[in-house]
Amino acid sequence: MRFVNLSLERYGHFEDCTLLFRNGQPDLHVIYGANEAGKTTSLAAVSDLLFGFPVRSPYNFIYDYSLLRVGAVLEDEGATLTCRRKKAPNASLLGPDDRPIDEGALLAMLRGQTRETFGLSFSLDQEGLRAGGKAMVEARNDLGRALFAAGSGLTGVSDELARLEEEADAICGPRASNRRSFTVAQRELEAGLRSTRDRSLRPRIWTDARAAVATAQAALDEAQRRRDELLAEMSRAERIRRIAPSARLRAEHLAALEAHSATIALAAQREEAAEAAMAEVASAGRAKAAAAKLAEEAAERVDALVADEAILGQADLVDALVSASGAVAKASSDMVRLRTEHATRTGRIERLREEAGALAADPPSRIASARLRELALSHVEDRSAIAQIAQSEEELDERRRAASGLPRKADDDPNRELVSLIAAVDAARALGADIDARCQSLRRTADTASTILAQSLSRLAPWSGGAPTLLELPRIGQAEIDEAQTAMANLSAEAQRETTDAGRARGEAAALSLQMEQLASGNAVSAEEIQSARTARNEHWRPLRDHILAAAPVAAPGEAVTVFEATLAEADQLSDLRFAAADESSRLADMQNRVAKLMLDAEQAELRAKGAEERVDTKRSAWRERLKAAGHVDMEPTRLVAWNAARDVSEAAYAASVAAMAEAGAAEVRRAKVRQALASCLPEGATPPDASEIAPILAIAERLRADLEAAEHQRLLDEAAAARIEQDADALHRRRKRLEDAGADREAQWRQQLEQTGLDLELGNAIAALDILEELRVEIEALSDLHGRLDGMERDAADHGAGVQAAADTLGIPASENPEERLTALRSRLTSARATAKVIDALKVTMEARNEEVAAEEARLAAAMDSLRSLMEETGSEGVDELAAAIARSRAVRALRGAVADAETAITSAGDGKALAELLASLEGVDPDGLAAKTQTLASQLADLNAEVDAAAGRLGDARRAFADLEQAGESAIDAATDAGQARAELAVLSEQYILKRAQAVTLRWAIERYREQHQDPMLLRASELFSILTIGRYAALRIDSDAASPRLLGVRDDGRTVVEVGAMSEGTTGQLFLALRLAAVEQSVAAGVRLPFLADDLFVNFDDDRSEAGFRVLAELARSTQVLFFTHHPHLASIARAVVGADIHSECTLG
Amino acid sequence: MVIAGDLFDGDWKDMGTGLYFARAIGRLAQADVPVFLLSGNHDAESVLTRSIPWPDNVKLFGTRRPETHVLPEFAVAVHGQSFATPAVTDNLVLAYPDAVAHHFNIGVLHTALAGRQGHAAYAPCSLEDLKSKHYDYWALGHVHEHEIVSEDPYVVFPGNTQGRTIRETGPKGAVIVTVEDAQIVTIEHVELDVLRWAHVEVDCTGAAADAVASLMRASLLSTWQADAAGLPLVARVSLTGETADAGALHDGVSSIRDDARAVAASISPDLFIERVKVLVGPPAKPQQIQIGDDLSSLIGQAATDPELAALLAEDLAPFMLATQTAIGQSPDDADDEGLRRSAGDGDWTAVLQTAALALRSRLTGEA
Repeated sequence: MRFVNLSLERYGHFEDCTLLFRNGQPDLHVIYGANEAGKTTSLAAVSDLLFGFPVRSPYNFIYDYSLLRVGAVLEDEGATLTCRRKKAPNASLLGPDDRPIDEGALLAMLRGQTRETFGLSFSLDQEGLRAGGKAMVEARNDLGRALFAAGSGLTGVSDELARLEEEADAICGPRASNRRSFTVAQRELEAGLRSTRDRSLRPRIWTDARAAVATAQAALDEAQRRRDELLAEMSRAERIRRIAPSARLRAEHLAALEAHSATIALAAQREEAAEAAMAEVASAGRAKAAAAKLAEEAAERVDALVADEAILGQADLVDALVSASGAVAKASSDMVRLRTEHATRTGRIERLREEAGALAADPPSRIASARLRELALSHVEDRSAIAQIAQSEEELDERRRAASGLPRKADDDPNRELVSLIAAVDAARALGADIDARCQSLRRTADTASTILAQSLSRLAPWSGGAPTLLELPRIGQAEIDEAQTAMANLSAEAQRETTDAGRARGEAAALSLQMEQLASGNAVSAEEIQSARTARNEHWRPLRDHILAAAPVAAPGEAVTVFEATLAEADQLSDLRFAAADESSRLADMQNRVAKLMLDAEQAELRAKGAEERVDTKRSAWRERLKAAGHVDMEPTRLVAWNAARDVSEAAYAASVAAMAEAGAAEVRRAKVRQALASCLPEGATPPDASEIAPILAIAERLRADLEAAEHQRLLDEAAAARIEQDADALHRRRKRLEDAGADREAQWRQQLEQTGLDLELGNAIAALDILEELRVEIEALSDLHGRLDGMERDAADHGAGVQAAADTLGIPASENPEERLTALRSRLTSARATAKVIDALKVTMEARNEEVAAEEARLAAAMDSLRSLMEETGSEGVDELAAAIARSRAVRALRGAVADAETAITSAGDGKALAELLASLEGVDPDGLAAKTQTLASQLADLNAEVDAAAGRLGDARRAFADLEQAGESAIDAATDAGQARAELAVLSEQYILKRAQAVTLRWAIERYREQHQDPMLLRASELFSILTIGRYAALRIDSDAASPRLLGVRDDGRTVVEVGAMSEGTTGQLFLALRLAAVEQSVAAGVRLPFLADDLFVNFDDDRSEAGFRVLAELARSTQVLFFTHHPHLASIARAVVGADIHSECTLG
Repeated sequence: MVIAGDLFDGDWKDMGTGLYFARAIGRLAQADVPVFLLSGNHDAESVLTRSIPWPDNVKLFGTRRPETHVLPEFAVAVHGQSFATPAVTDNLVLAYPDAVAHHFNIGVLHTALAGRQGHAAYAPCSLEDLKSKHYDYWALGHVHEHEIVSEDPYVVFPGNTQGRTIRETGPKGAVIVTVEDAQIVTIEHVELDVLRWAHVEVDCTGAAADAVASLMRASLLSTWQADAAGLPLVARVSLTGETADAGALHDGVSSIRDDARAVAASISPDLFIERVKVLVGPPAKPQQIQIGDDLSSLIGQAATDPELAALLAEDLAPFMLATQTAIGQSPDDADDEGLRRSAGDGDWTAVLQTAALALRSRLTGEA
């Protein structure tokens, strides 16, 4: 199959682009397009046409999916197929009328190729060539693989085979390994099974464990039983040991009791009472004796002492004297001091009197003095206050002077100026800090918008005009456009069709005429011939007929008959001929009719076509009129669509421009206004020259505002200060007034007082004098005080002395000069007399007490003896001593009895609750000493048995635990079985995968080998030739090396001898090797019946010119078998192709 | 409670299972519920049955001759004979005693009846044999499907209480029979299983390879939601139908398996995948013009080439041996189709067909 042409109706950026491929050898065509011209697009178009558009096509960027069309005229073995393809999931192959046609014809041409296989087998690009070269190197040691890769186009087949084998190997391999999943699963299975077995609790084990528990239990019981027995025996022995001593004691005590058979037992209390009484007797006797003795002693001592009555009678007096002497002594020492003071004061008084002078004659009273002092003080204070006020007034004056020095401003002006300035500044602020920038940007935007507008308007060419005109321009609706377009398209299509039909009809007519001519030159007999023959015959018959029927004469009858027969024969012959050739004749007639009809059809079709064309023209001119009427420029409807869109853009741009300009203007106006306001507030010359911007002027205004506000502020401060000054002055004035009034008052009072006291003092300096007078008065008082005291003291001392003397005389104390001595003697005597008296008293008291005691003890003794009497009778005792002995005996008896009872209690308590008799009985015949040894033995036996019991208990515990553990072993066997089950399932899955992969690998190997077997010889032969051409003779041929482990390909150099391995070839050469094999394979496919065009995408880009020429020669060779389409960007390759093929038969199409 | 045999798997040796069951029976013992226990073929070969300490309420049936246990307070007589060996091929019913008069007679037998498909003959007997004893109820064991064979008298297979493989799908449990005045009032099958098996077929007709995951999801989801019991589900996913991407699906079966598992996990943690079987085939193409000796045709011929079959058999022989020893041939796999089965049977054509399909997809897919 080959392409007659390829028509890119609407595909990618192509519109109605047809590539023609002329018939003829070689069927090699170069399709050249610069970059971006659509080389790749057109390549894709071929596949899309043959196999349908893929679900996602990238070629719908201009035309919507539904509009995409690619068409071609294909030729295969004389049959032509005109078809087009649209993008649709089915029924996508269309005829020229856009209606679906049967795909069968196309499919038959494709010989079962799919898009993928076509891509593999029948197309090749630079990338593929390079990959192919690499594949050749990879398969350098495996001929089969090389052939397969080159032949099928699957250059990655080596990788694929390796991958399959790797995947299979990852599952399972000849040796088990942990990285193989099958091995892993196998091991897990085994582990799982083993684990299940191990963890399964065997029933035997369980029953054994149970039996073990029972046995251990029995053993324990037995051991315990034996130990219990031993323990019983031990306790018995122990018991005996315990009670033996007590029993012995008991026996002893009982024996002792025997001895006391005659003793009368007394109750214990009685004994005690008796004993107590006896004790009392004893003690009473002793006490009595002691007390008597003491009394005697006391009496002796009393007698020894003598009292001093005399002085005792005078005791009070002496005491008084003694106490007074102290005071007297103190007074005398004081007197000395007081005298000194007296002298001092007298002196002071003298001085003061001097100072006071006249005033001293009559000092004022305390009250008066105080009053005067008060007045004087307040006078002094007020004076100092007034002095201060004067000072303050001076300061005030200063301030006033200072304040008045400052200039005063008028109230109104600054305020007004400032207010308007502030307003202007605030207004400026309100515009925004960036107002200047904004105005600029708005202005820029407006400029840009108008530029855009101008541009869009210019794009509306050929129409020209301004934007307002454009706005007024009427709009032609989409529907109308579409309708016009469709109508015109339809009409022109119709015209086309009709023309084609006419052409076809004419052609057919011509053909038919030709045929007719051919027929006519044959044996066909036309009706006229027969008619003429018959006419001739009739003519010749007429005379004969006349002759036969009307006996008309006929000259030369024989001749006439002969002629007649000849003409008859001829007519018959002609009839026969005609009959024989009736068929032909009818055909001729038919053909004639047909020709006539065809010609008629043709004429009619042409008429119709003409009509249609006329209609098209009409439509066209109507359309043109319409456009003109609407003020548009003449253009195609499709073009109008685009133009309308551009128009919309222009209109929008216009609106935008207008808006932008308005905005910019408004902003600028606002700004100018505010600026004006600001400028008016500034003084002359402060306005910056820049007439539009507001920021600089605003700055100046701000500064001015700041200054003005500061000045205003200062003014206010000054005013406040002045006001304060006046206030202060008023206050001072008031105070002064007050003080002065008070002073006047005081003067009056002073005068009054002076009158009263008769003093002569100045108010101003009265204080000092008053002080002196006061002091004087005080001193005088003190002095008289002193006097009095001194007198008193002397008097007292005299009295005291006299008293002492008198007393001493009375009491006969020796005279002395010093009354003190006498007093001291008095005192001492008195003291000792007192002491003696005391002692005597004490002794007397003692005596009395002792005597009382004696009596008491006597009584006690008697009482005690009474109480003992009954008991003494009972016991037959004569005296206390005997009684005591009887009591002792009784006590002994009781003690013994008690001891016996104790021993018995001890026995029973140590006897483990058994009865006494039993216990005593058990002692019979037992040797207590032997018991010790026995107990020892038993103890050691017990220790052994204990150990045994413990061991048995331990074993029982172990057995129980082991049994319990068994019962709890629980789920682990189940888990292991689950794991084993999963491992087994995994193995099954893995084995499926492994089998599949191995089958794939084996099949691929087999296919490669098969391919090699089938194709090796013819392919290699042909490839060898092509390789030689491609390498420009550097390599003469290809050869197979069968000596290696697997057959491999070698190149033979031009000298015919040197052999080069594929691995040693350069990259370019391996590419050429691949290309040679590839093209050889394509030729083989074609030979096997699959003849499809070969698409080459810019091969030879990396070849030099010689190699490229060689390449084209090879492609030209291929082009003898099948069509070759070579797509390229490079003009030099196109020119090389032209050179190879020949300029006159070179076929080249240009894209774009 | 009547247990008609096959309590424990013949080769399961873990006493823990037996103890667990004995404890459960102990609870019945505390409620004074009598239990009649018959040994079937599995019990006969199990070491557990001999060793379990049964409580008092359990009555076992002997193996030498049929035994009858009577419950006088209910006027019920239970007859049965246990299997002595795993393979009992005698018709045991013939020796069963006649019905006890005025009692409700229950016959217990472990059997496959006669001619049940898929089961070897265990104590084969016919329905007539059963009817001839004039019992009121036959409690049969051995068949894992619940089936009421006849209603006059009632001959019932309760089925097993838990499906064990993918071949035992659907709800499993036991049968509760209510009897009033010696008449059977209701027979109710109660579901006792804790896990269900299900077949999930995913129709991949005309689907592309990457659409399979979402098809599987849809099928699994609908199966999961339709499973009213809310039990964990183990599903075998089979991809069926004809699709152009059949080769790609066969080739990528391991990733399909991973996808299936991921999908199941995302639907529910209780949904598991037992296996994924790819059973898709290529669409039946209208007469494909196989011209040329190229790749397509070679691979197309692969399936029927005897030389290739021999090569493959040789290549896989050691592996088949290895799997045979490792996995063995468990009865569960008996009906399993698949490459391993085909390879084991020597059906290389089937294997090669699938391999050719997958290989073609691999080669043309990547090229």
